[in-house]
Amino acid sequence: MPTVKNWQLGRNMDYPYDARYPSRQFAFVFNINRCIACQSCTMACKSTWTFSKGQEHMWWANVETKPYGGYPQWWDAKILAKLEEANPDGQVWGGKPADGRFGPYGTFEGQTIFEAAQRTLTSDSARVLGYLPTDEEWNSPNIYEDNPVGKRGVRNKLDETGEQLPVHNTWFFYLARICNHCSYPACLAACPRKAIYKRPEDGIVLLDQAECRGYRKCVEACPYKKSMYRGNTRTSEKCIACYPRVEGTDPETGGEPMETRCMAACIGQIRMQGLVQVAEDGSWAEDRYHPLYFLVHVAKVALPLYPQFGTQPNGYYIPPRWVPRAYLRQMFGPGVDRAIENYASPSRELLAVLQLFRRSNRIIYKYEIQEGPKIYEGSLHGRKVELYNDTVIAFGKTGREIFRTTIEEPIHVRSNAHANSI
Amino acid sequence: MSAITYAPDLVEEAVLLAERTLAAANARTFRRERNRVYDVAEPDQREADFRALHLKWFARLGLHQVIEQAVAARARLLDHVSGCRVSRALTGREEGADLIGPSPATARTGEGQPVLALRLRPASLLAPEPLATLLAHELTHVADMLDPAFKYERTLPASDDGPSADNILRDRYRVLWDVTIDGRLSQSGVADGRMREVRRREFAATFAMLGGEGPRLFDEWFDRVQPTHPALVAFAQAPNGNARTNMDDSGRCPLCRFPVAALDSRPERLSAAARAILRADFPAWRPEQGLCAQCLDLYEARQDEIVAPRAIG
Repeated sequence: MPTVKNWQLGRNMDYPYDARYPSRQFAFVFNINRCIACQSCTMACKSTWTFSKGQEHMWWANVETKPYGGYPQWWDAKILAKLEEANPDGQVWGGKPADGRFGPYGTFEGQTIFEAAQRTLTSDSARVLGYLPTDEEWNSPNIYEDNPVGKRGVRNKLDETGEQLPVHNTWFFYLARICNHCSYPACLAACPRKAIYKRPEDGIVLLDQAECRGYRKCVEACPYKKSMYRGNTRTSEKCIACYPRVEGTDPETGGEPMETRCMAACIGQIRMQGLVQVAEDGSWAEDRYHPLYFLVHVAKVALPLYPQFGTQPNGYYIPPRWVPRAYLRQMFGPGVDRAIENYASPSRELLAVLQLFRRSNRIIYKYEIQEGPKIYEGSLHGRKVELYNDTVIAFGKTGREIFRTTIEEPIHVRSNAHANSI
Repeated sequence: MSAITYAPDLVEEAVLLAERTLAAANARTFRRERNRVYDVAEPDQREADFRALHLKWFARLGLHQVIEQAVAARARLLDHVSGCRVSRALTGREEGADLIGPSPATARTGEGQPVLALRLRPASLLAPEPLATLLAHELTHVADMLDPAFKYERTLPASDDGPSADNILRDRYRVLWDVTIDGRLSQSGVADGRMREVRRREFAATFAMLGGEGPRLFDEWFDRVQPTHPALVAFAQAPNGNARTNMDDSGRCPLCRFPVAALDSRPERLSAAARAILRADFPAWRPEQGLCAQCLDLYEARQDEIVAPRAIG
């Protein structure tokens, strides 16, 4: 099996195909400290792409309540268990975080889904370790996420020993998910028809409906379970990253690259999507004033989802501050502690970049900060805090300014001309 | 009865799941045949070809065998149904057998025959032993429904206490019927010996109000050779009428008067302080009458409020 470089894992890894990288890569950052699970993203996607017959069970974008919830149910617990079974007690990180762009979280010393497959599967399906979710797991998004239930398989009865649980702090958070348009897609690796491809211009992973013959290997292989089988066409489908919008060819975009429907619909303003430059080795090329580059590689507050799977996902999350660290480290890797520390005590630049989220639906390619006056001085978490009313300016693909905004939110004074006007 | 018919989506999914168990050469043959169907341009023809292909492989893989055997083992039952349809269940809870169409009573008199409807998950067809057990159980339900001696009625008696009381009655009836079915299957050697313990736990949870009499009554129902619908309903309506307990037999909590599945038979769990508060509200209440879990929680909470008032502000 060929070897490719995985910068998130800080090492080379086995992958069924030789490395080929796009010039730019579709990527996004979700600040899940702010997600309220309103499901606006979910419905924006549903009403755009998956409203037809045969797509009833499909939610290319979904929001699930962690730690209990999942769509399909228990997707992450199941694949983590399979990896653990393949490599008992070996799924660990080591080494030191690198200063550069390769290995910023240390080195993953365990096995990816590609590597574990070679050890545990028969040759026919040896490319990727995965599983096929059941009908029930697909058909119940968000079921019981806010309900107490008994033991599995016991009907109409709550857990009798639940009251004996040790005293603990309850916690949960909402995890918004779409296809990660991975750099090393498991779906692509598993497809026996080569019906799945990664676009060279933006790294979006697409599934050619004319080539698909419904083997469902992609459904089985994708560790994030974002490839779905459609019974009436007998082909699989997946998130297409709203590529007409990203290309700027959707009539609404006016020729300028625009963020996806799920991003644009986010009323919690947790999402930012962009196209990052890719270096020859598949890592992100230095692009200091690209907001996603800044969040991932400079501020280091945004982390990949389950990087240990090995697909080098391009979805990044600012982890929730209140969640036990062990859980977060499992989900986002060892960069969690630094990410939360940096987010909880944000730098002057990070504060400015966080203001860029959802001020516009246009894709931001670059930002610039104009310094403003000091507006606050105090302490937070035992540290001195100074706030400056800086202005952050977002630029689009052509270098034209898209918008500018300030750290201090503007105050709108309601006109007294009409009682309820804004 | 005409032949058993299978829903196309069940057949297709079962075949796709079974494909993983095929030898490599067989799997390649299946895929070659299936891939060819994708090239059929006319949608209706393509759909028909897919269905025919999957049905052919369904039969070739013997995925129908357990169902056919289970139904054939109930030859007398088949005389009273006009057909048997097997459709796809999405969850384990949906799996089962039922009669649809004319009522079982008319089937018994020969005035019109219902259809035997089986709902199964595709994955269940790949596990012959559990499937055989499930079908034996479910088809006994159907056999009971068609047996004149069982005197089955489709609807249970409605309660004046509203839907919650109806739900309680239905749950009790379901548990009791399941107990008698698995009891009979155990006696005939069809059901696993462990089923007795499974049903005992379910019975104990549903009929907790029986207290110490529960195990004896469970054995009585589990070993009963010829249960009837009216007897099941009567017991479900008044479990205590069949047992020597001091519990209130009305199916309502003596305090809040709401219908409850089971009164808490352990009022001694109430602390002395909570009992004193309760007595202040209900002087005539005696612990032997029991109370519902909600009332028990309520008075425990009130006691907590008095013992440790919460600081506000």
